Amino acid sequence: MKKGAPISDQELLQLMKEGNEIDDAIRYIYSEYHEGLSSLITYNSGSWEDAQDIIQESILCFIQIVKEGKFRGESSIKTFLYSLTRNIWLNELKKRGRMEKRNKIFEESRDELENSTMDGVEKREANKQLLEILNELGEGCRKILTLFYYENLSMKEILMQTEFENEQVVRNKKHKCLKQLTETISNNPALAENLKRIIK
Amino acid sequence: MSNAKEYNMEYLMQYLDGEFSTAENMQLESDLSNNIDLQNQLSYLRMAIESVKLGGLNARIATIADEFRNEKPEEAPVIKMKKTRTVSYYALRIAAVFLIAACSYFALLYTTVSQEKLFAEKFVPYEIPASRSGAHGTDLEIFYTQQRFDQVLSLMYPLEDRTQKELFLGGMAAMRSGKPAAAKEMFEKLMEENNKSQDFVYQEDADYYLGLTYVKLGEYDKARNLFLHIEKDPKHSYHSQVSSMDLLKLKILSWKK
Repeated sequence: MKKGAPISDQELLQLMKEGNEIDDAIRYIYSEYHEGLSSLITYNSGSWEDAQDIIQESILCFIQIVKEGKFRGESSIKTFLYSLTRNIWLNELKKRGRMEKRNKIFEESRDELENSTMDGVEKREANKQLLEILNELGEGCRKILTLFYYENLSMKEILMQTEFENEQVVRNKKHKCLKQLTETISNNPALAENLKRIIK
Repeated sequence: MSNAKEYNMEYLMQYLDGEFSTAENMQLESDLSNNIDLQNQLSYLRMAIESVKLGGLNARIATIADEFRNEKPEEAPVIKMKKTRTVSYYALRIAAVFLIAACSYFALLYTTVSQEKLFAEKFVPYEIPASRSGAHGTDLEIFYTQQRFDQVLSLMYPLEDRTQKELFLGGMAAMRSGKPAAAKEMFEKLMEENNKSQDFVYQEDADYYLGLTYVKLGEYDKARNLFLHIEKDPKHSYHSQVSSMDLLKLKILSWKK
């Protein structure tokens, strides 16, 4: 993707669906929508740090929705992303018990589309829980599993990026880590139920 | 479980990692069809793998977000101190001198910072660019250019009928005629309209001038929030107008309140 060149919604969706182009899609979303999304939050009682966190969570939910084929293109990406971010932020404000009068007006201005993005709010809550579980797994396990399942690297390539002795040690470690994560999920029915909702 | 063989988790991992032959795949899939426990075990394993992918995606977004925020035109050079045998002694002395100087400066700043001074330092009257003013402008623009701010304000109400541009000029007219409460109402209305339409017209101007309006009204935390947003965003049009010193001054004003 040429840097700075405008792209259509269809092209952006295509980038998001193709695993190897996802970074370009995320960069484009940041360059195009970060400023507006940030203002949406800072104007509605959020700090600059809140804005950065919420935008990141919102983009993650949006990519999940697109990958699951649930973004039907009835609105533009921009409109959908703003509605999703707004709903996530409103939900966060409610949780913090900081719903001011102005934010209540902001909430009441929800339209049909915004209600349809509530699915994203549920995803965000489940994602937060899941990311906490992954954090508990420890840096070493997270790295090896991410390199294998997210970056799609072979055992040989992972060996070059880590300090393990040989491929068999990498393989054993990966199995042990995945087993640990699987057991955490299977021992936590509430978490498993949430995961079913966010994972296709 | 009839004729199905016993599977352990490693075996299921190999299946999901695509390491099985076609025959092994068929055997497992056949066993799965009538073994609920095995189905559950496989389902949890799939969830774990999808969780890892989601975590990976989240980490990528965080990295790109950091890169995006750090794309500043110029980075300050990193200066490394040369280490000597007496470095800790001199470093402590220098640190003490700096600490005393910093405390003195802070004390001076604390006593001298004031709402009026900060506002006067930061406020620059907004002028309509030449190409958009003059004979071809609307009445409201012409009045604004001629600095007939009362006439501008007389055209503003009801605010619901005004465009985002008019709301911005109205807010500026109110500021320039010493009516910060009216300015606040108009800038906030502009931002509300921008949120609704998701078309961020005059947004960055409003970020800055609403911040100044909050200063004028003594709402320092709100002002600081907006200024922090500007200061953290190197691409913001008013980025060069807001420094970390301004943020400190606002914090001090908030404490003094």
